[in-house]
Amino acid sequence: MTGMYLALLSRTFRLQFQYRGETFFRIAGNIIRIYIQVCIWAALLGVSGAADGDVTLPDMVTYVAAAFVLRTLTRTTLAHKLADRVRDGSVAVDLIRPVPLIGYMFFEQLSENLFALVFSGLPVIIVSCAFWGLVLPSALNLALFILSALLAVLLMFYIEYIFGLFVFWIKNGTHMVMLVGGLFTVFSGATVPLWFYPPALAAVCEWLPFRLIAFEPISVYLGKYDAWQALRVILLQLVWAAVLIVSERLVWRAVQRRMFIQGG
Amino acid sequence: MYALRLYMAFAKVRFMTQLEYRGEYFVRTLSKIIAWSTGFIMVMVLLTRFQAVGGWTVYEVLFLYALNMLTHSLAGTFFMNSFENLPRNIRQGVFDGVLTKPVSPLFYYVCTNVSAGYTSNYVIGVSVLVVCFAKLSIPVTLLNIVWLIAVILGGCLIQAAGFILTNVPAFWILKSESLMTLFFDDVKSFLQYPITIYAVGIQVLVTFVLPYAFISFYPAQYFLGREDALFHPLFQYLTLPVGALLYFVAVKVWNIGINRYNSTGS
Repeated sequence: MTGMYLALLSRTFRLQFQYRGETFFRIAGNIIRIYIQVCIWAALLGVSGAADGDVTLPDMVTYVAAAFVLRTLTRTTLAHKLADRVRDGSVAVDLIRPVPLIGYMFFEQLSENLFALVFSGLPVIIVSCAFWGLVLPSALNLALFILSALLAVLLMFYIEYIFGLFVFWIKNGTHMVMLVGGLFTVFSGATVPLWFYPPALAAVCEWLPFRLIAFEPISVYLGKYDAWQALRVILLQLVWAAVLIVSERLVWRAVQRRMFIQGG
Repeated sequence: MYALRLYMAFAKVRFMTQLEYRGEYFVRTLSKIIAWSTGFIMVMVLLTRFQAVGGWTVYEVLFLYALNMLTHSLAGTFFMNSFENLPRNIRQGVFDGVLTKPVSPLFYYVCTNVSAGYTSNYVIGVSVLVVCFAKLSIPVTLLNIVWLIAVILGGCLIQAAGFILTNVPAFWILKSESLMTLFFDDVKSFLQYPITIYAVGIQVLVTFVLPYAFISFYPAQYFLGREDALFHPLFQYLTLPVGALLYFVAVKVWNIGINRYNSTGS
């Protein structure tokens, strides 16, 4: 089983290498987007002196960079890929493969994201570090951050996959991707940390899993939580993972009852 | 007039096919509403907390945002499907068909790729502009309305030129998708906030090299009675000429591209 996944990993990496021309443009685009965020925070925090409460500009630069890393790791096109497979009928073959479809798709996506992290994420982080300086965490916080980032990847993949399964009803993945993207932007705290949210909106975020994918792991990294609070974040991520795993099973059962294969 | 009738016939077919799947159309509209309103929501969240960015208050920033979104959607209705997919259509040989028709290739190609998906964007964009006019007490005179329409028209032309110019290199290099992402989507994201918060080099870039600032920043200066731009105050009146010039250049480059076109033969 592991051998199969490793073969998939190396295949995905080789495939991605075919597009290395694109990588340069992606790095430039990512640097632009991070630069914009840094300028916005410099303009916002500059007005009220060097700091706003206990949030400083280096904190926010680090926040932006960490959010970028998490977004690189959690970004998926699972819904697109599912839709393509449903439309051309190749999902029929996927169902008789010796690996479960979800496992295959998750691992393929993870391989692509790891590639993106190494070849377009890392250069961006180095540039950010050189130009604006990043806050370094303690070893404990770094370890907790890595753990919660891994769980964040699992949560986001499951959310996107469950939304993606609805292509069996609506036959188009693009809009599900937009929908999840919109919910993520508003409720995850990836662009604006939840510290700055109006209380009513922050309260809604409490009840949704999205903040566990961006805001909470970054807060752990920045040392805004003590060890116990950080463990509480990880525990909550595990609870949400369980909820999502069960939901996926339920939706998948409904899909199997409904599925008919087009073309072939 | 013949062209107009032809266009209406093409557009009708496109709209009908897109409306055929009601469920999908509904989900698409809903997802577009959510995806585009998130931008407005985040600006409001940020500026409710911080009051102003670079001296611009919440409704002033929303005004910028709405101008960009509305012109993007209007231009996108005609140029998004056609030009976003141009590299793929060239690679797969689909583009051959466009050249065999007895009308101008640009006209035919754009008309057969009209998108019905932007209706909700017009509504959101116009509503936000109306709210901004009210909240910022911009006088609703005939002159202002005519000027707003001129600015939107100019903005549309700049956006259209952007769609064309960032995808036309596909005629030469076939695989050019990343050019559009970088030089259209990424560079345009500078416009979400007043460009005065960026380094001088960036302000020069979006004014003279890729003049996207004429879509929203400079025309907004006129409506908001601001003169905080780095360059001459005359720039706030230049949206329409800049748009017309860029669109003219874009069509010229498109024509060169078409003449250069060799079918991939697939």
